[in-house]
Amino acid sequence: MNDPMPEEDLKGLFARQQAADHERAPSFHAMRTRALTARAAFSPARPATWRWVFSGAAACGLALAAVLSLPHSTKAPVIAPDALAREFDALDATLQKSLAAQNELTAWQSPTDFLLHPNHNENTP
Amino acid sequence: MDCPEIFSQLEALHRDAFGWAVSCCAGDWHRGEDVLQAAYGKALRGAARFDGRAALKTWWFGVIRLTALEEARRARRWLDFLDLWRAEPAAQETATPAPEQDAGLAALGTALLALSARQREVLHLTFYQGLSVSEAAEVMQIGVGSARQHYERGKARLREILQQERTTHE
Repeated sequence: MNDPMPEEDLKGLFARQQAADHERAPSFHAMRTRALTARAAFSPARPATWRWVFSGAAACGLALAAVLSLPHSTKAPVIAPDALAREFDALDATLQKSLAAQNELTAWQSPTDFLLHPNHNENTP
Repeated sequence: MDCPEIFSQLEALHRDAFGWAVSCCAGDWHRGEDVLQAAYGKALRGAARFDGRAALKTWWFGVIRLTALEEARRARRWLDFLDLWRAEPAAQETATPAPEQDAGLAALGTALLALSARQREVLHLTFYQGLSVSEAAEVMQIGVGSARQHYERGKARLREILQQERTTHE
């Protein structure tokens, strides 16, 4: 590879900069320890934990919503007292009519009914 | 390659990696240290994995560079957010160079800041780290031709600025 060679004067200046940086560079072990500490705080288990917490909270929310909405959907329709009274009256009227019809039915006699009556002729054995 | 093995090799590169991290942060030593720390964190968590396709140094320097870019983006977002709550915009963030630098190194630092980020990167990687232009291109994730162009222009500009500086002082 024929990369251009850096000039010596510039190279010398950069070498001095490098020496100054090397002198002031923080310790590798200190930085590694700090990185390890930060890594412990950023443990890969945390996202999984949060996933479980969020899933649990979502499930609880859904269950609560279902429990709250269920009684509303299955509750018997509320009837106004007037309507109830009207319905009761209607039922009563129907019952009365039915009873009247039954009385009429029991009161009716067949014209030949006397023929079948056992005690109509007392002399007959 | 497993984590302990990688770290034993990264230890050998540590001081050069620190220099590169500082360079990626425009000469700011404190930010450079934070960036290198974050890069070590990535390596430990497995967020940055060495797959052996490139040389370890090239791979590691690429990780540091990307980490520095991420940190700079995050810092910019935070500053933008703070600006929303300020009556006046925040002052431009300035680098905190190493104290007690000699005049020559201070001039080099100032001159490097006058270059574009790409030019600064390629010059650091070649002059300071001793990489070839093609290796620098790999770290910077650009083509070799482009890296060579940044190298040539950056070198010419750097020499020009340093010459001006020398003339002013004489």
